[in-house]
Amino acid sequence: MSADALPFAEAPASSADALTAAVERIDAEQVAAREQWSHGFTRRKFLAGAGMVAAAALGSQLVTTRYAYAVPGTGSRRALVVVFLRGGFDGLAAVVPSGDPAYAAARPDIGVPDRLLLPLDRGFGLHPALSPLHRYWQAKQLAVVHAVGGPNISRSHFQAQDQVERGVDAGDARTGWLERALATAGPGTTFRATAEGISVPQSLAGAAGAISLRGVDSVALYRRSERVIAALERLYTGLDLLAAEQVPVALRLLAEATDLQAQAYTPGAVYPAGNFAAAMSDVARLITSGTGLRVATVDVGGWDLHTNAGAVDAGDMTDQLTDLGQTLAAFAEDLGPTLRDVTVVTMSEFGRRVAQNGSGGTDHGHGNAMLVLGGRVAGGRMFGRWPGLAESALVEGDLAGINDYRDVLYELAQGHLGVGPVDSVFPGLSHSPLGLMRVG
Amino acid sequence: MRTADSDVAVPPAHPTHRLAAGALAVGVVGAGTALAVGAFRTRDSAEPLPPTTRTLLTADLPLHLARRATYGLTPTLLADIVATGPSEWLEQQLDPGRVDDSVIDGLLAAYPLLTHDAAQLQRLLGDAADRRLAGEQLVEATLARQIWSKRQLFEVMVDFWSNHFNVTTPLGPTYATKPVEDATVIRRHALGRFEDLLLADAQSPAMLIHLGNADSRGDDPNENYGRELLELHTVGVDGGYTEDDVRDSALTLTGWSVGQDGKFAFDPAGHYVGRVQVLSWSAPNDRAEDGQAVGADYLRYLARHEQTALHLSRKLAVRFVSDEPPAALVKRLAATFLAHDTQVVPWLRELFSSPEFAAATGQKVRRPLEDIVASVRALGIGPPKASDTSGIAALVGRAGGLGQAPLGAAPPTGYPDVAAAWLSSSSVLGRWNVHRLLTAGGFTGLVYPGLRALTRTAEPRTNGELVDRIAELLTGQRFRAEHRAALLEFLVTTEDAEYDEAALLGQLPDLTALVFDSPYHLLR
Repeated sequence: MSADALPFAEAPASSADALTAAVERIDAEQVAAREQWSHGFTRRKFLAGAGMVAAAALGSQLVTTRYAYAVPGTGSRRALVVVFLRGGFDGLAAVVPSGDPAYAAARPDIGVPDRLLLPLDRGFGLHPALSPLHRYWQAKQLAVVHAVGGPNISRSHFQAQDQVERGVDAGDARTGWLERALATAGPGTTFRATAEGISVPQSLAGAAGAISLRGVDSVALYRRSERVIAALERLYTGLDLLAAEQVPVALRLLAEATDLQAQAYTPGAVYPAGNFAAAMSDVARLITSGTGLRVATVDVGGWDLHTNAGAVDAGDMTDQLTDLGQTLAAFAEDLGPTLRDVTVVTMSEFGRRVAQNGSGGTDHGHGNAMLVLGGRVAGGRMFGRWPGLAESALVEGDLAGINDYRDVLYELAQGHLGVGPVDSVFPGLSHSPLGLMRVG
Repeated sequence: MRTADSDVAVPPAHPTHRLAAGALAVGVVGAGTALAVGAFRTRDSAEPLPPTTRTLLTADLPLHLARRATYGLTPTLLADIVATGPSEWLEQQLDPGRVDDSVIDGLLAAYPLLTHDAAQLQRLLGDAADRRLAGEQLVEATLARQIWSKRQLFEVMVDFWSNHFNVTTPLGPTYATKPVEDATVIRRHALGRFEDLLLADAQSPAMLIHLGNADSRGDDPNENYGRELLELHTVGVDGGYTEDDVRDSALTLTGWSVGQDGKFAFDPAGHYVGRVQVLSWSAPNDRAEDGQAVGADYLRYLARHEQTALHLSRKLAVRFVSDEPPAALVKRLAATFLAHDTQVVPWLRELFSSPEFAAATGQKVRRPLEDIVASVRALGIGPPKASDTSGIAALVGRAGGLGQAPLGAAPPTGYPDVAAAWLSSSSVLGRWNVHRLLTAGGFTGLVYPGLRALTRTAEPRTNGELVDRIAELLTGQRFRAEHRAALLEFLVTTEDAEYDEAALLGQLPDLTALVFDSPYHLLR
C-alpha cells in the first residue's frame, strides 16, 4: 500500500498565503457544518424536549426556574427505568433453556445444571443467583423476553451500544430512542429524564434537558453563594456552545437537589452494597419523592466475561447476577405500591456466544434475554419466539435474535410515556405486539 | 497588547509574548514544521469576537499550540513558546530527549514499583493483599507526568496510545505486566513507528492477558483480542472485515501467550495450524512453529493497511483538531502516515502545520482529566516531595469521580474523545467542585505558590486589571466584556476601583475558580 493509493482531495498547502486561504475556507466550512448541525437539529430538539426553561436559557437571560412537581395537564407518575448491562449480558446464563442437550454440551464448565434452575415457564429456568427475582415472577410482575436481537446488530461493543441506544437499524439518526420517546411525550420537570452516572447515555442523546447525577445527595457546589451562582450564569449566558447547554441544566439541578436533600428520606428496602444498588435506590427516591421523573437510565458494567466466568456456585458471573437480582428485588420492594407505576427493563448491546471459549468465558454473540419488572407487567410469562440452540438454528454460533428489542421497548414506552406512533420512536420498525403490559 | 474588549494598552503579562510585527501571512519555518501562522491574528489586532466556539478563544498560534500540544498553560509556558519560536518549540517537543525532565525524574522516586519487571512484581506482590499497588503507582505517575513533565507533547501522545491500546489500570490480572507495558511498549514507541508499537503491543503480556489472547488456543480460541485488534487497534469498525475475518484474526494469533516469568512466550502447541485469511492477507500457516512469524507478518500487514492509516488519522485529528475533523485532513494525514513508514513524528508535523489545525481554535472541550491537569498547571502548583504523594492520589480520586481516572477506562475502546460524551450536569458540577478544591489549596503535599503570588505577578492597580491579569495568567487571554463584568460583579466592585489586596484576598479562591469554571478554560 503506497500513499499514492489514497484519494487526495487536495495537495498540502505550501505557502503562507495558501495556508491562510485554506484556513479561511476550512473555517467557513466548519462553521457552516456546525450551524446546520446545531440549529437544524440539536437546537430544535432542545426546545421541544425541555420546554420553556430551555428556551429561556437560549436567550439573553439564563433562567433557573424552579421546577414544578407535577406538570399541569399530564400528572402522570409513571416511570420507565432502563438498566443497561454494559459489555454484553449473557442471557443464556441468566435464563436457561433447561433440559436442552445442546446447551449442556456447549457450556460444560459454565452452564447451569437443570437441577439448580428456578423454574419459569416454557421449559426455561432462572439462574439461582437471580433467586430474589423469582418471587416477582411468581407474583406475575416479572417477565422475560428471550432470543432478543435486532437487524444488523454489530458484535463490536461500542457500535452495538450505539445502535441499540439510538434504536435505529441504519442511517444517521443522532438522537437516542428515549429522547424521541420523551419528545413525543411532551415537556416535564427537571428530573423528567434522569441518568444515574457521570454522563448521559446515548439513549438520551439530543435531550439537552436530561440530567445526570450520582445520587441526589451528591449534588453540590462547594462554597456555594448567590454571587457565585450569579457569576456562573453570566459566564455562560448567550453562548452558542454545546458546552454551555449543560450549565443551566446543572444549575437547575443544583437548586432542586438542595430542596430534596432537605427532606428526610429512608429507603423502603435494604439494598446490597455497590454502585448499581446505590443508583437504583436513588431512582426509587426520586420517583417516590414526586419529582416528575419519567425516564431513568442506569448503567451496570462488568458483563464482558470472556475469561473465567465461573461455574454456577461461584465466580464472576454469579457475582454479577447476584448483584443484579438483589438490587432489582430491593428496588421493587422499596417502591412498594408505587411499583404499579414503574417498570424496569434490562438490556445490553448483544448476547454471548452459545459455546464457552478457551478461557472459560464466552465471546461476543447476538441473541439475548431482557428482564421486565413492574407492577403492570404481564409477568410470570416468557415472551417471544424461541429458535432453540440446535446447530441449524444458530447464527454464526450465536442464539438467533428473532424477537426485536425495539418491540419490547416500544411497548414499555407506550405504557409509561404514552408516546405516539411507532415511527416517531423507532423509524422503520414494523411493530409486532408482544402484550408485555397489562391494560389499565 | 490589546484584546478584543479593551482599547487599553497594558504591559504584557508574558513579556516577549507577541509575534513579530507583520507575522500575518508569514509562515514560521522551523527545523521541519511550517506552522500556519497566517491563520492567526496578531496580538495587536482588536476585532470584536462573536460568541461562538470558533472565536470565543483568542486565535493566537503560541496559545493554540499550548492548548493543544500540551496539557495546558503554566505560568511560564506561553513565554517559553514565544521565546523559542513556535516551530522550534514544537521540534523540541517532537524530540523529547532534548527536553530536560529532571523534575519528573525526582518525583518518580515515589513510585519504586515502576522500575521492576513483571517477574519481580510477581515476587513482590503476588501474595500481597492489594496487588493493585503497582497499577496505582503507575496511574499516579501518569497523572504527575501530565502535570509536571516538560515533555508535554510526548505525554499527550502517551495518553493517546495508552487510550488506543487500553488496558484498564489498576486491574488485578495485569498488576505485574501493565507497568512494564507502559515503559517498554507505550513510552518506548509513542513517538516512534506505529508498526513497532503494534507489534510490541501484540507481544505485551498486559494486552495479551487483558483481552484474553494469553489463553486463546487453536482448538479453543478466545476471539476477544483478535476482534479488538481489527476494530480498535488497526483498521477500525468500518474497516471492511467480516466475522470470518475476526475468527481468523484470533486463530492467527493463537499461541501468542505469556510465560511464568510474566514475559511474552509463543507456545507452538497452542497455535492453530491451517490456512488463515483476514481481509486481503493470507498465510498457509501450515507449521505450528511458524506461528510467531505468521502473526508478525499479519500485524505488519495491518499496521500499513490503508484503513488503519485512515482510522488512526481520524482519531489523531479528533484529538488535536476537532470532534468532527475535516475529511481532507484525515486523508492527508493517512497518506503521510503511510509515506513515512508509519512514523509518528512526520504524521504530527503534517497535523500541526495543517490549515485545519490552524482553523481549529477553541473547537475542543477539555475532558475532565484534562480540565484537572490544566487547572493544576495554570495555578503553578508544584510537585510534592516524593515522600508524600497523597495529593496526587487525591487528584486521581477526583479524576475518577468525574469518570476519567488516568488509564482507567473500563471498555477496550478507551475513553471517548468527543465533547458530547463528557458534557452532563454532574460533570459540570464535578469540574466546578474540583476547581474550588484546587483554588482553596485542598490537596496536601502539593506545593502551592499561593494565589497572592498570582496577583503579585500580575501587579494590578485596579480591580479591572486584577480580573484581566488573572484571566490572562490562567487562560492566556482576557475575557469578553460581559464575562469580565460578571467577575467584577462577583467581587462587588467596579473596574476602576483601586486594587486593595487586603480587601480582595479572601475572594481570590472563588475568583480563580470562576475563571476555571468559565468557557475560556473549558475549551481548548
